[in-house]
Amino acid sequence: MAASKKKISKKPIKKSTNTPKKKSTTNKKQSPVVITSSKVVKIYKSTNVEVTALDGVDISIKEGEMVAIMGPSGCGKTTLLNCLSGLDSINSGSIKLQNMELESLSDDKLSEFRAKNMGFVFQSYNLLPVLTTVENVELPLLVSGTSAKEARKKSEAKLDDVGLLEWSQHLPGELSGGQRQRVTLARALVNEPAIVWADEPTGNLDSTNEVEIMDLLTDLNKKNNQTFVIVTHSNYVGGRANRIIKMKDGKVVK
Amino acid sequence: MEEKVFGIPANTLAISMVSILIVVAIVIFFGAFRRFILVKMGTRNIPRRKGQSSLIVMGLMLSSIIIAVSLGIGDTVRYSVRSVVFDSSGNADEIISGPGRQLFGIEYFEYSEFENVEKLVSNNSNIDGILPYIEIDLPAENDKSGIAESRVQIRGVDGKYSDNFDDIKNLNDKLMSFNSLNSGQVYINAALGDVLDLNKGDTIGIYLNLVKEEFVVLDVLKSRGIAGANVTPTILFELKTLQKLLGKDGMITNIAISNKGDGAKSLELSDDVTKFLRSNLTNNQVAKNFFDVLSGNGIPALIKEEAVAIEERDKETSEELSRIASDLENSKFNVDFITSISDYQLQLIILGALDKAGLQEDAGKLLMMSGDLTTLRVDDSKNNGVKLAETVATGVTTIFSIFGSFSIMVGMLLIFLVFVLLAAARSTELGMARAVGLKRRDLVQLFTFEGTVYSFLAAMAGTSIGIGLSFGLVYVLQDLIDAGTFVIKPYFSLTSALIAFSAGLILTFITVFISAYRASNLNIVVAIRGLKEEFVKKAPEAFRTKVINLVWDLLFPIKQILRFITGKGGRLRNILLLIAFPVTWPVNILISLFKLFGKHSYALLGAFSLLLIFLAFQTETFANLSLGITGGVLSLALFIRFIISKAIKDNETVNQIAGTLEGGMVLLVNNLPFDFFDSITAEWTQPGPWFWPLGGGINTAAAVWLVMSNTPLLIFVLNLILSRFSGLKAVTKTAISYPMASKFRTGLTVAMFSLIIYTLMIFSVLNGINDISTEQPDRITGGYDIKGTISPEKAIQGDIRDSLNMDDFSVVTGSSSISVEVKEIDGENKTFKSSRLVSLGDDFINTNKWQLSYFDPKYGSNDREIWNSLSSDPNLVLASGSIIESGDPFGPPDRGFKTSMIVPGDLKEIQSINIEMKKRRSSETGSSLIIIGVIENLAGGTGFGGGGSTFYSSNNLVSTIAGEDVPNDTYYFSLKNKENASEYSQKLEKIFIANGMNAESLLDNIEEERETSNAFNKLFQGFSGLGLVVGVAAIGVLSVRAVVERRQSVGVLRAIGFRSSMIRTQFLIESSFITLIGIVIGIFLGVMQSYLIFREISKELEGASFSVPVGEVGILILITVIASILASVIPANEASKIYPAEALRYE
Repeated sequence: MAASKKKISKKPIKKSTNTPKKKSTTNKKQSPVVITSSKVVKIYKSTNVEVTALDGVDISIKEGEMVAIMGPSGCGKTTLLNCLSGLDSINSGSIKLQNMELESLSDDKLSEFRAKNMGFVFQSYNLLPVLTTVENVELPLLVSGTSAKEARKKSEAKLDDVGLLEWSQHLPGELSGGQRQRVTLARALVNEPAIVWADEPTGNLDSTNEVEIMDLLTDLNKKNNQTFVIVTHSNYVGGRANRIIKMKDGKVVK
Repeated sequence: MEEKVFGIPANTLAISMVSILIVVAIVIFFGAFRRFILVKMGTRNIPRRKGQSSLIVMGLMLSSIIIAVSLGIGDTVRYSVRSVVFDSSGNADEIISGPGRQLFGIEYFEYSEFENVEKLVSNNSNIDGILPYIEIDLPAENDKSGIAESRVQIRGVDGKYSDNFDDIKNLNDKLMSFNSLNSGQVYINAALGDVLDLNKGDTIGIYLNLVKEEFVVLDVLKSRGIAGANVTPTILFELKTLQKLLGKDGMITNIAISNKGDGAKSLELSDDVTKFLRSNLTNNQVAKNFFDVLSGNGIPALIKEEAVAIEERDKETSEELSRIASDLENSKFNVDFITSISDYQLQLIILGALDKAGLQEDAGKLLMMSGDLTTLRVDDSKNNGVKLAETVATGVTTIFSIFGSFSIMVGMLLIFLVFVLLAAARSTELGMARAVGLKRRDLVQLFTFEGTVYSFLAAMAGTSIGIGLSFGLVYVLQDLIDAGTFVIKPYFSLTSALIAFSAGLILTFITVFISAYRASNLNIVVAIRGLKEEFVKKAPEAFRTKVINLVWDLLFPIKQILRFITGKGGRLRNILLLIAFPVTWPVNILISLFKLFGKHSYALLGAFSLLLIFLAFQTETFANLSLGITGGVLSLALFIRFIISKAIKDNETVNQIAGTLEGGMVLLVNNLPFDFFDSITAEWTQPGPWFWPLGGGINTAAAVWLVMSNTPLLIFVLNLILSRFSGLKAVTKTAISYPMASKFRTGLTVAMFSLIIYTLMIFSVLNGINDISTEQPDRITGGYDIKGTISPEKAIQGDIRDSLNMDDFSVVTGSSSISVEVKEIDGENKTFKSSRLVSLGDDFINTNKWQLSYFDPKYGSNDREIWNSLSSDPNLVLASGSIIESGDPFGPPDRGFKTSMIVPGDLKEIQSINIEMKKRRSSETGSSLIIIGVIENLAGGTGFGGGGSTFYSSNNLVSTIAGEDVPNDTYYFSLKNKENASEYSQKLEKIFIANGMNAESLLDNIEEERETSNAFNKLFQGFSGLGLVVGVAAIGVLSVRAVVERRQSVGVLRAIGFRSSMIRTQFLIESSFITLIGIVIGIFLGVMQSYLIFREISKELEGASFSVPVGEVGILILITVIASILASVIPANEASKIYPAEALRYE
């Protein structure tokens, strides 16, 4: 493989110069609530078994907040993220994103809403293997109707932000794990979404890469005042968040 | 005559195929018995995925269907023609007729000749019946209704012999006898009853010697045998009555001979009886004199040379000549020699050979004796009819199999694709199976078991559907070829069913086995972790090991025996490989050789190609040359790949450049004009029709290889086009990128569509070429509206115009003709060959619009002047286009005159050709004539096949050559009001009913001809289009698989905002995109190939112009794309319904 011989980029990730690393959260207290769930219940049914994955979850997350959802395996973290982001439906309760009742949106409206207002980061990157790095990044822009030229420009800028501009024409298979996750981040952020959902974003990474990715996430969170909801097992990731929501057996415990 | 399929006796083929199948079945059963767990593992998926399994079986059926259809149609045609032969011959196995010395008209001979034959056969135990009769054609009429028929078969049968010869029965199955007929009574057969609407007791008018006489129909007989076949309206007289009526007392025209036994049994005796009759009806003393002359002067060697020279054109005659030569060399004057030498055509060939060698004196002696050699001719009519049935049936089977072979290839590609996908779908499962201890050969077995079930089901279903389909097609054919004259009876023999079933199963099975082997060749880690194969490359074997392997493979049988003894690699496997050594030995040597050469395999391919080319020159075989050159070019391209790979490190660039060269160069040499090598290979053995599908396969493979090597370029171009539609861009980008990333499976599917579209395109384009008949019908009809033919015995007395109202006609002109023998004076063809000479009236010469394809400018500067010059010099003639060798691979050998001075494609201006022409079977010196031009093939006998070589002259050359007055036998009419042609042709038949005129509207004929030809083309197109079903099935399978494989990607796309409709569109665009690449390649190759074919046929088919039927191509594209979209609608819908959270949960 040609790319495997190529040295993995050590180019530092660009950091926003005008934002300090630690910023007081005082102004966030006045920020409006962007995500609210009330008494959300999600039940999975198979032929013989019924599992209550979410059991009356009430949470609210404010604009610009970075929230970590933590808890043991099977406690319903990912299900909550999926339901909050509209990827999955709920059995009862209600979810509001930016004052929009998710249940009231049709599938197409929801897709459109996701394209314009949300970004996703997954544990196993989920990049399309047949598209180059830059093509993967520009996909959300193209979906939301940005012109091809504009989309390319913005994607390259975003790739530059995550330090991968020189890898823009490579296929995901030719990148390392850390690099792939940075591409995923670039893809999640390229359309400047209000909310970024991250499901175990560092789950497949070593500690050095974990730190790098979290630096990047917190940096972007502060720079753009975007809301981040991160599902994680990692205490380090939890420590970097503004708030931790702990879950157990489908319920928020803290 | 034994039935043959693809040149192999059908029974032998069936037995060998079934034997192979039995061996394969035993091996599979044995394997299954030993490891039943593998059968379970392999077959459990079949009932689980019913939809997928049915789709696979449907795709796999195709080979069996096509083979069954081809054989079924062949069987039906054979059976139907045989039925006609048996119906029309009845008990008559051989027919004896006059010596053939008469120039025109019916040849009668004395009844006493019959008595001689009767004496002769009385002691022959193979013969159980003999019947003297007269057979002629006369016009007849139903006086009451006025319905007339210009040509009715009239038979006068000797009642003394008929009762013992054949049963004649009336419609109530009551036995009838000719002895019951009095002089005013006749029998008619049911066929005539239908045509003239006549029943028992009615009166029938028959024109005897141009005068109508009336007879009472004593009864209507069943149409069979002596009463005339179903398709032949017949009137039957008692012999003596008819002799008297015709003024031919004591004369007959034929003697029918019946062999002992019925049906096939009597046929078996036919060769012996014919030989017996021919030798006894030949003057043995004259034959001995022939033998003596031919034994001297080195003539046997000359005959042998001639046998070799004509071997390719006419195998049967060549074999006969060889036998005569060896009989002469060994001084064996025997029955075989007498029988052979009595054949006049054979005499002509031998005389020609003597003439060529300068042995004119010997030739003269033989010519003088020739007239006394035979008194009567013996025709083994029934046997010939059965042979004809066999030839036609074999031809039909061959044509259908050739057209079908493209679909068979597509079917095999589908099997391969299905297994590639199945292997991909189960790679993790299989990897695990390997990890826990299954061997590679276990995986092969596992897949083979699964494939066997599919293949078996497919072969069963395919054969049954194929039989049904062949019957359906037969009915369509029946419609096309005018059912009135030939009744087609659907038939399918057990042998054919066995062949279709076994061939379909074996073909499917071979592909399954190869696919299984490929699927088993997985790396455990790669399979379990879903990595790319490139990650784990095997360490190359050491050179020494490769050499040792090669040596062992050269001694393959010994190696297998040793391995069997030591038990290494499984005893069963080794013994099986040993049994199959005729295949496994060379294959193993080849594999070892290629392994040894490794990345320098191009050198090996080059060496093989050179060997093929060398063999081509040695054996003068074009197929070897063509394949050798293709291989050579490919090896050169592979060598360039090797060189490039040294210079450029980027694999993708190397693949792109090298792939383009490999595909491009093979395409180039495979699509050279057919006559490109003519200067070297004109005289070589040309490949049979099977070469066409092979060339098509090579073309498609090369084009697909070229395109798939250039996917980056393709994606770039498409993105450039599609980026204009930004709304679609996100969808199209993914839709194009996915298939381009899976090059192998995309390539396979593209190849399927290319192959089918390729064939269909060739049909479409070639179908369009024939349209000259619409644009310039005059070139076929000569500008005349009606052609009327009569038998010369019933010639129109005086000027025909006197019987017509000439206000309705602008031209009425006639021609006469006789059989002649012609040879070149200066050219190579110095053997007298049979031809026809036609003398045209001055009006014809002045008014006809036939065009010339060649002429000598010495006699005029344009077609008209050449025609006019015929009138000025009685020694000038024009020849028909059929005097030029055409090299038609499908037609029967043409034994008529051919010129050596013109070859197809020559310039229009030629030098005149000097010929010698004499009347048929004459020992006199012929007349020297000059061919000053050649008429277009379009005009041949006013179209419609035209027959053999014909010469056209003026000034009544016919009568001069014949030495007697020959009346006109053909009339041409031009009407003032051309629209009335059909009506007038009926009128003319009526006016000249006494002369038995058969008149036809030429434009109507052209129209009918065109309709039939179009219908045939459509039929073949439909048949070839069966492959489209497979292509569409492939798209379906591919889409189903894509949805399964890409669930997670779909989830991501949905997460980032793709609407469900966008996902659906993406999958639909993907399948249309693959289909479109296939279509584009197919159209490109099809147009290119049909242009090459057009170039070749336009040398003989004058006035043809090349055009691509855009409308038809558009419809073809539309149907194909819509069909593939429909095939992928269900999977695409399924993909669009994927719930993102669910899909992402499989992370």
